[in-house]
Formats: sequence, C-alpha cells, structure tokens
Amino acid sequence: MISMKSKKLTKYDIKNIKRGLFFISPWLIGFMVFTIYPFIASLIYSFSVYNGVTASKFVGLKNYIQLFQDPKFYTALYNTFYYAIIAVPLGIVLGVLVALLLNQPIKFLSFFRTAIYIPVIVPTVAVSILWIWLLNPEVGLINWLLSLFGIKGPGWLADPKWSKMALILMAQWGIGQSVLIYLSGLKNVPKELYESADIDGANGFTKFFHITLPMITPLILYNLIMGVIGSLQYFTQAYVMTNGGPMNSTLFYALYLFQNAFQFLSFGYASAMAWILFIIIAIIVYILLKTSARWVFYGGQ
Amino acid sequence: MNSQIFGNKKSIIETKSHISYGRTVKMIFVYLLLIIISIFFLMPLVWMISTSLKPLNELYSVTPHFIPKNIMWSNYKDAVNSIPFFVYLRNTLIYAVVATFGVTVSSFIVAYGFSKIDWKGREFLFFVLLMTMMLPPQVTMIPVYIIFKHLGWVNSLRPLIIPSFFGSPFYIFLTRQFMLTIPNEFCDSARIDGANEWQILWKIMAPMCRPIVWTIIVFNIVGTWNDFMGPLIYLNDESKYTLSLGLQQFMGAHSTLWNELMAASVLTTIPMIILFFFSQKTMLEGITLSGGIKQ
Amino acid sequence: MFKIKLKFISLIICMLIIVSSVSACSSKGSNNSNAQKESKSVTQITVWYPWSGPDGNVIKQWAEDFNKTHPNIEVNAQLVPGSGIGSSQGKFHTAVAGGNPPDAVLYWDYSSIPLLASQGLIEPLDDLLSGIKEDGSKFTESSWSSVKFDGKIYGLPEMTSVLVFFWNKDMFKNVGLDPDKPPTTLQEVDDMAQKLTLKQNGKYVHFGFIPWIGQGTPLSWAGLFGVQDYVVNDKPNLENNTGLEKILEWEASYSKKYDPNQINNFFAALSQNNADQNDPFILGKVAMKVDGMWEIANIKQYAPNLNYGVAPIPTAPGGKENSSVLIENVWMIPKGAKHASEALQFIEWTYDVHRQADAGDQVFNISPVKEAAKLQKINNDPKAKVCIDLMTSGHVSFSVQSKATFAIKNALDNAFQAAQYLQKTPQEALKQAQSEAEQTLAQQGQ
Repeated sequence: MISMKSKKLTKYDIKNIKRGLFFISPWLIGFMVFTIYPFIASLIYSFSVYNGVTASKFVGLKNYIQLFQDPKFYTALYNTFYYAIIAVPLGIVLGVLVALLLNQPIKFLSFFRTAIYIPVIVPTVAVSILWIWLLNPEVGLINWLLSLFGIKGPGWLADPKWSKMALILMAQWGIGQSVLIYLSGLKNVPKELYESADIDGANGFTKFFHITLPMITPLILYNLIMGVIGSLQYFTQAYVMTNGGPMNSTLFYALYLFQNAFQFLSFGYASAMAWILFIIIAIIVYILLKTSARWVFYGGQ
Repeated sequence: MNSQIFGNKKSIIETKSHISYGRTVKMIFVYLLLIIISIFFLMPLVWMISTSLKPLNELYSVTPHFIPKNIMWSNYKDAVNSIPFFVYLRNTLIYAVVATFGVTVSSFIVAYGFSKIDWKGREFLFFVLLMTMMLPPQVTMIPVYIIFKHLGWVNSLRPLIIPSFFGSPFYIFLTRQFMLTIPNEFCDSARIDGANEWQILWKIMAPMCRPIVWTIIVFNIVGTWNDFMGPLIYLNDESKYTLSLGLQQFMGAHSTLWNELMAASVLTTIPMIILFFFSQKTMLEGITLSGGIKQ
Repeated sequence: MFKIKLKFISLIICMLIIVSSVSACSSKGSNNSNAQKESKSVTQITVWYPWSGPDGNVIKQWAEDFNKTHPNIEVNAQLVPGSGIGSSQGKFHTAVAGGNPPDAVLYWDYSSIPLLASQGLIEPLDDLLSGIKEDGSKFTESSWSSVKFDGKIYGLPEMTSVLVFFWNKDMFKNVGLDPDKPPTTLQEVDDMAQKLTLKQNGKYVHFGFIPWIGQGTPLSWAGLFGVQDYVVNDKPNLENNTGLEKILEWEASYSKKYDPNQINNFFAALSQNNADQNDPFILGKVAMKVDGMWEIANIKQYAPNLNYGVAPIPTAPGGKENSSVLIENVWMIPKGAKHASEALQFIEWTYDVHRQADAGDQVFNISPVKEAAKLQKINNDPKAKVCIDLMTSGHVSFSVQSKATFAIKNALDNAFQAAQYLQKTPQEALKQAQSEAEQTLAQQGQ
C-alpha cells in the first residue's frame, strides 16, 4: 500500500474514527461527566488559597513559588523517588520470576497460585500489623533470619535510614497481582513456538529470552507504567503505619499532599503539589511509552 | 529427512535421558522455591486466624506465639454479633458484583477500540486515558463529591457502582495490552469474511481474552470488597455500610479488640479466597491461540 | 460458547441483585414515607461519633434514651471512624464542603477547634447558647476554657480525662526503692530511672523512664513545664524559646545516657503507633510512664495482676505542683448544619448530672460537669480518685487555643524527634521548627 502523507482524511479514515469513537464511547462519556470538572477545579484551586469549604481566593503562582521554597517538598520528592526507583524494578523482576515458576507443569498449582495472591486479598489492617511484627528489630522474623547469617538486622521502621527499605520489602508482598497478569499472558504463548524451538535444540534460557519474554513484554510494560504511576503516588501504608516518620524519612509526596489538604486545610497548596506530580508522572510515562517500541513485542505485528 | 532423523537417533536418546535428569533437578528446585515463597506469603492468613482465636489476655506477649493456649471460637460469634455483619455483607456483595460486572464489560469494549481498530487520534486519546490516573485523587475528592451531590447519589452505593459502567483506565489499559498480544490475523480474516467489529469483539476476541477478563473480575471483586475510602466518603447510614467500614468499628477509643477484629477479617477474607481458588483453573487454563478458532 | 453462557449467567445474577436491592430500597423508601406521613413534625438529626467500644456505646445509648423521651426529635447517632476529622481522610471536610454535614460531630481532640474554627468549618455557638441560657458554669474550669477560641465558644465538652503518672511497684521493690513512694519531682524521676534501668550483655532488659513514650507529647510537656509562650499573637515563638529548650535538653539527656538507637529499637519492638497490643508498661519493660487515666481500665482488663500505682505527675522545673494535662472530647456544630438547635437540645440533655456520672463511670473518664464528677462511683477506686482530684483541684493545663497551634504542634513533633535522635541540638531543632511552622502557616494563606 502506498502511504500518502496527505493531511486530508479519507472516507476510510473517517469510518474508522467513527468506529473507534463508538467503542471507546463509554469511557469518553464517563470522562466528560465525572473526570473533567474535578481536574479543572483542582487546577483552579492550585492557583488559589482554599480551605476546602469557604470560597477560594485567587493568588496566582504563589502556591507554586512557596512549594519550591519548601524543604519538605524536596524531602517528599526524594523519599518518593527513592521508593519508586527501587520498588518498581524489583517488583517487575520478582513478578516475572514467580510467574515463570507458576507456569511450570507442577502439581498443586491452584494451591500455590492462591497462596501467592493471598496478601492482596487480606485486609490492609491485618497486613500492616503483621509486617510491624515481621520487621520488629528484636523478635521479628526478618532480623531473626538475618541473624542466622550473622548479620545484625537494623531497626527497620524505627530507623530513619531503613524505614523506606522496610516499606519497599513490604510492597513486594503484593506481587501476586502482577503475577496473575503475567500468567494470563504466558498462557497465550502458542505452544507451537516452544515445540519448534525444542526441535531446533533450544535450551531453557534461549526459549525464555526469545519466546517467553518477548511475548509478555506488553504486560511488562503495563506493570512498569502502572508501577510508576502507583509508586509515585504511594500513600496508604505510610499513612497507616508510619505517618511520615521517623523524622520525615517516610514522608512520601502523596502523604505530604494529604496532610496539606486535610490536616492543614491548605487545599490550594495541595492542589499545586498534585499538578506538579501530574506533570512529572506524565513526562515519565510519555518517555516510557515512546521508547517502548524498541523492546515491546506486540503479537499483533 | 529420514536419514537426518535416524542419524540423530542415538544423540536424541542420550539427550533425552540427560534432559529427564536435568528436569528432575529443576523441578525439585522449583517446588522448593514455591514452598518457601508460599509459606512466606501465607503468613498473614495464618497470623489472622491465630489472633482471631486468642482471648484478650493472650494478645499481650512480646514473643508472638501462633497457637493460642485457650482457643476461643466464641470470638467469631462475638464478632458477627457486635456489628451487623450480614447487612454489611449484603451491601458489600451488591457493590462488588454489580460494579465488577459493569467495569469488566465496559473496559473490554473500550479496550477493543484502543487496540484493534486503527483510527486517527487513537494514541492521543489513549494518553489522555493514562493521564486521568496521574493526578493524586486526594485533590479531586471534593469536586467529585459535589458532582455526586448534585446528582443526588450521596448516601448510597451509586457513586461507586455507576461510574464503573463507564470503564476504568486501570483495566482498559490492561485489556488493551492483552489484546495487542493477539495477532491481527484473527480480526483481519474475520473482517474479510464480512463480520462487523461488534461481532468480532464478542465472537473472536472474547473467547481469547478469557484469562484477562477473569483476572479483571478477580481484581475488581477483591478491590471493591476491601475498598474503604469510597464507602467511607459516600455512605452516611450505618445500614448501608460495607464490610471494610465495619471492620473499623472494632477500634475503640483507647484499645482495639484485635481478636474480634481479626475474626471479622477472616470471615471477610474467606469468601474471596474460595472464589479465587475454585475459578482459577477454569479461567487460566485451556486457552491456546492455535486451533482455538473455528475454520 | 462458554463465554456467551457466562455472560448470560452473569447478566441474570446482576439483574437478580439489582431487582433485590431496588426492592429493598423501595420498601425502605415506602416505610420512610409512611413514617413521614404519620408524624410530619419529627426532626431527624445526625450526630457523628468517632469510635466504638464503651465510649461509642455511651453515645449510642444516649441517642436511644433521648429518642424515647423526645417524640419530635430523632437522633441518628452514627459511628464514623475518627469522625472524619482524624484518621478518616477527609470525610468531614468533604461532607461540609458538599453541603451535607452532620448536625453535630463529636471529636476526641479539643485542640482541633482553633484550626477548624478559623477556617470556617465549625460554627460559633455563642448565640445559640445564650438563647438556652448556657453559661458554662456547670463545667470544670479547664473543660470550659478549652472550647473557646478567638473570644467565641466553638464547642461543648463531652467527656474529660487527665494524664497521670504510673509506676510499677514490683520493679521499685526489686531495686530497693520504696514501692509506695513515687517520685515527686522530675529530678527524682531521673535519679530513680537510673536505678530502674537494667542492661545485660550490652542489651537493655528494661528501662526506668523515657520522657516521650506513652502520652509524653511535646505540647503535654510544655504544659507541665509551664511553657505557654510557644505562640504569641498567633505567630510561632519557637526559636530561642528558653522554656522549650529546657524541655528538649531534658529529653536529650535521656538519649545521651542510654543511646537513642537502642531506645528506639527497644520500644519499636513493643508497641507501635496505635498497635497497643504490647504496651511496654504492662509488660514490665518500663518502670514509670506518663499516660492517660483510661489506662487504669485497660490494665484492669489486660493485666489485672500488675502491681502498680497512680500519682500526680512529678513537678517539672518551672511547673506547678499537682499538675496534669487535659484530655477532652468535644461536641462541635459543623458549618451548614441544618438542625443546630435540635442538636444542642440533645447535647444539653446529656448534661443531666446522673446521666453524666453513669457515663463517666462506664468509660472510666471524668465528667466535665462538676456535680456529676463528684457523684461518680469510680471515686471509690483510689487510683481513679487521684485523677479526679487532679481534675477538680489540681492545675490542669491545655494547649493554647490559637489558629497557629496545629502548625506549631507539627513542627514541634519533628523538632522533638530530631532532638531525641540527637540529630540536632535543642537550639537547632527549635530554629528548624520555627521556619517549618512559619512555612506551614504561609501555605495556609495566613
């Protein structure tokens, strides 16, 4: 087919646009009804002083300027990036590895899959309490395991130097979610690809790197992008377990934002924080998407 | 061809026994890893059950012990009686089932539009979809609440259920990625045969997407089951509360009834474990792209 | 084929659920309209309370009893974790902002009044109260003074409590101290703590005293040391505040004596945040502590054999004798409440002397109504009597009610932590706290 770089829409193009819009219409309608107004409202708040209740007062860029002069802003950014840079890749590697383990022809598969997914189902309050015990500096399981190797475990959640690492470890319990996603993708890999590779005498490693991995790269991209979006907005565990401490070492961006919104009643300031984070996330995700063509293999092509 | 096979027969047999030995070692290794990981991941459940069976005075101990000295099955009875457990269960069920149905079907339809139809503006709108996930929800809480107040949906589950029928970016993105792994030939050949897009979606894509659809159903049921923020903000009547709100009611002013709270948590968690355990085999297995399509 | 069958089945299930829920809703709806047809003049009011347990049950019971005797007002008492203010992520603010607030809200921290009031989330009550001739004379002095802000009244006391000093008699005996003679000054606490701290093989077995565990918060100690000038004219006065410096130096002395990392690891191994499962005092891991009166009830339930005593908090340098710190639950009326006067009617009804005495006994707190406190049966419990005497005749301090207090509290929490970890000297920590508090206030637009 000769691709003509013509800016005019052909009848075929228009037909396809109509089809596309038809299919995405549920989302589009929902977007316009439920999402647009809150987004615009929060953008306006970011240029105002607003306590959430009485009318807001327009102050231009004041919130943003104050933000850049706020030491806690930088602390929060540092903590959040520290968390994201370690937790996201770690979660992806572990998720893929565990999914591969579960993709083997083993007995009791249902049992193992359920076990991996259980921490995702259990209520947050139970998970938090249990990890507080696991990370207990004196009698916790983690430090006990370390002591078997002669290592003296740190204070974890009580130690400003180790508190983020403690939360990163805890987050790995949630990999059951991404494991399930990879498993559904692994099931889709056509068996003939493996069979023909076997005939060609390929070993496990080759099969993994040339068949398995490429086939699930779209799902790895999903977990990567969702991981970035999620980890840069990490909030719940820090709020429930540490409340930013000790000494602001777990003051994550979304937690500081929340404190500004609902404890200090500085809604305008919190909105400015939100939009800065929005821009940061948008840039990172855009870069990830654009560079993904190089390593993501879509079976459709 | 024949000579090739016969010529390599000896080496194939040798390779085969070598493979089977290597395979056994590999499988032992796999089982070992899985058992260790499973023990570690099962701990929250074991600990929950253990705490739920303890009497109050056994909760205070520096070194946690798993088996209570006095097993108190009565904690379960107390937990179910101290909060309107079955009312909360009914509310949670309605929320979980209806919202999951809505979000699964709508996300499936929308994802098709973002993956299998090639149209100008698709990538732009897809990025807009992603962008809706990038603004921390704390700052949109109040404007969103005002929308629902104008619609008259406050103090009901409607703000949580109805929007799910418009798809969720989370699941639309996931389903889109999954659909992109499916070769375009399947859709193209159907188009050539004269099928329209709607038919392709339901007759061809749907069967092939069974694993991801099931995954989304499980994710969303678990998510809505444990959703705390949504019901907290929009429900004002204790009779409408969900289980996640109910669990909070075990937290008193200066002490928490951990054992009853854990008993209630166990009762909350078990249905979903059962759902997951019995549905996974049907959904995750038996799907292969080759030979899965008629003609 | 399977997929179509699945769709069909799920559709049926959904329709069944929708039908059943709609019918449930409509039957409830018709009941409501029936009830409304019968008694059009019943005013329904909503009241939020923050916790369950005995404290929450008191509120529920009050609502039930009130409804029985007041046919034209129906109080709907609703349990909302943290009342949507603390620990419930904005439910209160969303409700007020959305024009849908409860008619009254009960919250466990009176010191939240200044911020909520100055930001317009709660209403001043002066007009309503003068209309029903409530002048606060029936309340204890500290409980009534603490609900005022900016010259107006913004809340009503619900229940009060005090911080007191706990000591473990057995541990005293073991080191040769007289178990019936608790310390009366902080200096004595420091000395006794030294004797009561035991270290074996380089690890601490138990501590004598640590200032910041239990309820030893910065503002509590400020009150006990007689430091009330941390806010002047609604502006933070933290830098070079000699009173605060004294407190920080005292706390840092403990870190220097016993090593902050060891202290923190030790207590991290016990209770953490709100996980009160492993309270160090109950477990005999610390010999003395400053904590709330409610712990007496807890100990009775969880460790009835603990041999301990309760006394007024030892006097701090610069502080007064028989000092203690106020803890108070307050009722507030949110902005936009539709039935404020009916809500006040309910609240005033709860101040009946016998009703208050019963409630106070149930929750092991002290009623803010003076006459009721005298009638309370827990007066017979010698430990509770100590607390009640402190409340009625001792010197009860409470945090300064200024709109800057919350920002200051936050900044001081960080500053105190830095000093406890020996990361900063008291002077440096306070300097940092000053700029932090000022920054927060600027962000609020003040």
